[in-house]
Amino acid sequence: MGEELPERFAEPALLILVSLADGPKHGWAMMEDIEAHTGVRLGPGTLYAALARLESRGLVAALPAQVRRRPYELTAEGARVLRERLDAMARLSALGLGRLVPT
Amino acid sequence: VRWLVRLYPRAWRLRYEEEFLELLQAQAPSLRLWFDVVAGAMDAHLYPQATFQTDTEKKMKSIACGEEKSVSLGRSVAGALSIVGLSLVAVLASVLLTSQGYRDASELTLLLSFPLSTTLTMPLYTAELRWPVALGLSVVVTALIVGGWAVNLG
Repeated sequence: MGEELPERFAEPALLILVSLADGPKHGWAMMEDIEAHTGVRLGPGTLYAALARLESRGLVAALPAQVRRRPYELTAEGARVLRERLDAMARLSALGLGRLVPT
Repeated sequence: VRWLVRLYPRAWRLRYEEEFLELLQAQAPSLRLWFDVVAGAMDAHLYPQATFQTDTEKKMKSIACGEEKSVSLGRSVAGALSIVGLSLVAVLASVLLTSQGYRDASELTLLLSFPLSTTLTMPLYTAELRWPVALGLSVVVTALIVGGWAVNLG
């Protein structure tokens, strides 16, 4: 994922991909979903900077606009990249937890 | 903060403005929101390739850039004058405050002048100058401000 997403926007991009994993959402719905599950409140500028990068790399795709809101969905490539990234994080998490001395 | 959307490149606005404004309307105004939108605008100027990928969108960008070029000279001059003017004001204010014994206020003036001058750099990017030129001018502004700080407080 490091190659697909510049480091500076890796975290917001990852949060967006996770948010879209269970179906299409527009900007506001993504912000609410991400805050509800992670406590991170992405600003609109940060959200759209990451969203534009994801769209340009074909990891998310825009759907037809509904009134003035445009939903986005995860592409097949986006799902593959997300799965790879989450698997890597899971391995790292297991390693770290395993090495921690029980308290 | 709606007017801040004008800081984004025209090409970006063609693609995202409507939905972005819809999202902004739902936000409570705050300093954090202001900085977030300005940072997003700077990113959109520095990373324009994120905005357009499809052939249709590239065509829209070429139209947008053509329109921008017709006013780029005026915007460039306005942006440069704004930055130089602000830098001079910051340095002079610092000199004045230091001479009056307000050392802390002098530092604060210079501190605040930096984000303000950065914001005023935006017309240069909006004019779609090549980024090394815009960056070079930004460095000059920063050097003026830091120079003023060094001379007056050093």
